[in-house]
Amino acid sequence: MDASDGELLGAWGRGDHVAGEELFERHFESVVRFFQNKIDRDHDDLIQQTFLGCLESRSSFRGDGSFRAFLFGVAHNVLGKHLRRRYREPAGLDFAHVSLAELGDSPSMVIAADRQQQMMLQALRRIPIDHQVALELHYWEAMTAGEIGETLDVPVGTAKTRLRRAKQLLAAELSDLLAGVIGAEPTETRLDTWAAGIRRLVSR
Amino acid sequence: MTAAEAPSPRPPALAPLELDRLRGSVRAKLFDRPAELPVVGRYTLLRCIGHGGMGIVYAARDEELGREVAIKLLRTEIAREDDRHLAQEARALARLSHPNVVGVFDVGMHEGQRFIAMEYVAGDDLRRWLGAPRTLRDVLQVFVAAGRGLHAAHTVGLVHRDFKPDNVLVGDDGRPRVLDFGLARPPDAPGNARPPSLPTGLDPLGTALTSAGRVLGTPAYMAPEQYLGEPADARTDQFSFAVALYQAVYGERPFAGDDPQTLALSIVRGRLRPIAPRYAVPEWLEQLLVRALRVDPAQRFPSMDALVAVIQARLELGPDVELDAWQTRAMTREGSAVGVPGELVSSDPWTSTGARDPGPRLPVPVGAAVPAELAPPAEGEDGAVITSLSTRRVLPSAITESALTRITRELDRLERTRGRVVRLGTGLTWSTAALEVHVDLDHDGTRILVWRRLKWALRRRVAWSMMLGFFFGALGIGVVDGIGLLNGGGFEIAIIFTLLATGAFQGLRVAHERHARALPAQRAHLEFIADRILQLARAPDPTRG
Repeated sequence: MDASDGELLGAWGRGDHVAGEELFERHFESVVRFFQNKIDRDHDDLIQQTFLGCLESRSSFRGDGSFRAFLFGVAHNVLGKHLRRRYREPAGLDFAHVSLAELGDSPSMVIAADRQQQMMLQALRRIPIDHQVALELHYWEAMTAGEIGETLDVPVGTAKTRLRRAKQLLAAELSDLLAGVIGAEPTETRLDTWAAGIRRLVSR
Repeated sequence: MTAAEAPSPRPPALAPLELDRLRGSVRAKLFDRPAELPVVGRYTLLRCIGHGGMGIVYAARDEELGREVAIKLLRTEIAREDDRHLAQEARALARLSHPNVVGVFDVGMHEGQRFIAMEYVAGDDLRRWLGAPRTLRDVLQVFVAAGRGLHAAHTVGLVHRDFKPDNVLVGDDGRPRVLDFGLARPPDAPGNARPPSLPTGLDPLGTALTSAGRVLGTPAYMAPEQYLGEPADARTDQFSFAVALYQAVYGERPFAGDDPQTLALSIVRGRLRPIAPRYAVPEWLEQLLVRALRVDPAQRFPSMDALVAVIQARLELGPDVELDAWQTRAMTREGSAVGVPGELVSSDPWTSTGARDPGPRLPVPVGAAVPAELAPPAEGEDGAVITSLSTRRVLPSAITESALTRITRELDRLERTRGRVVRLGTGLTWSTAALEVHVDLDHDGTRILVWRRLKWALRRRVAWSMMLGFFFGALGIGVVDGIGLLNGGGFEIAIIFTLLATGAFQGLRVAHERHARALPAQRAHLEFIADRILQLARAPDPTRG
């Protein structure tokens, strides 16, 4: 049986590079995905810092929680540090309220398959960063509210509330974006039709 | 699922090559081993240095020549669509060797993806370069150089079509180079281009619009003809260049609109947004920008060279307080820009600079002479008919309430009709269908604009003259018929039509001539009205004795 993520991390900490590389390989793409819709450059550094961060703070990973929650928690901190340094606002940047779109960041590397996905990615960047992180982890990494809570270091209840709120914010942004695309139909119908389209695409 | 609940989106795909490169690069750093970097052609990708509508750009090492190059990998849909164009363009660019154009070395294919190998320039793009405080002279020097690069491309028949600060690299050696002739095509054949459809919610500064995989330009920098789907030529680049320069000088974009639709409307209508510059932008520079931003390409400078020469001449005049002392405002991203779209859709001729409208909105002090090379072509120079006249006056002091009343009364008397009076804050507008008078009170005085609409008078004249011509044509038919020339079937109809058409055409010509002859008198009358208003505005208040 394969070694668990926690065991690999421990082995890497003891100097076992093979274990480290396996752990890296397992989670590399998720980490790339974490940064790609948020930051437009310096991905090399951010990814490296995330894995090094895991290695350095491995003592705080107790092994009972989810490794991915731990990993994304580190990634989230790396992101925060990066944004604060980049926008030179160590204190003033409140990720619960400011969105990446407001910070004026453009995404990189993201290849939207179609107009719908492009709009979705855009809408995600228009909601506050904390909400964006929660939603992306929920959708793309299939993480539970519990895991998201661990990642963002908040109680499960708060994580649930945040997810619910994030969905509302996303829907509002989407209908804003859609308003210009499809003309006269009322908002609910539009979003529903559109959502149905997306569902069909996903289930295919 | 309710409407309030968003659908579950798929994670977006990652660019495979970038993923490989990231994996190799990060793994090498983490685990102290030689990097396994992806190879494209004979180039090893080292790091990602940029990305845009066209694809991703890498710094790469040319393994054969041992030099560093930049590799641009084009998005597959673009390369497929324009493959033939791309090869042509690469050849044209490879022929073009200019210090202000990024050199192109090579094109090739990598796993179905087109790539271009270019000169690697260590430095920053112009957007970031402008982010630091610069003197106006520095800014102008960089733009002059970039303009020369554009002109060099124009002379070999290439049009850039997406000129913007992001597409100019300022090398660490200080030399600017124009980049990304990725969209550059030979000047469009008419009827080839199509107007772009405008998605909402785009970042008008950053996103390039594409149509069927073809990039059409970046909304904020696109010229009216690009929005209208008309052929782009060298003057299109001039417009984009002027938008970029305007933004660098004023710190704001010339046209309002944070979403592409509003922006498109302002650009196509040529509505420069009202602006209060933070420092004294030289008069000649304002004039230059206004001319290069004309809606009608024919009214812009004839070439980039002509525009650049004007700036260069000013730079060569030697030390100049205006150029050397002022720091241009750092270029800002305009997420929180001022422009309120509603404000700009007013029909106030003061803010409109449509093709035949009164001209620049930028405040023009009275008496300031406009150098001949900067003045836009005189109205009607290209044979078009003048449909409006305007004149301005500036009074250095504020104007009293009673003076305003006297002015409206005098206007009613002069025009023999009661005009519609609208009070706008401290100012006033008096208007009829034919004449508009705007009195604006500014912190630095009173501005008066008198604007005469000649369209209706002209239309009446044309209708009359054409009817008259038509009538004479018909008379001619009667004469011809009378002497019995019209016996031969189809010939008859042809002669009748020719006579009628000639008559109508002559009528139109006569109308235009008479219209042109009447212009000086109209102009004189307009000046008279303006002077009269000025007189009344200056006159002491009679009620106070």
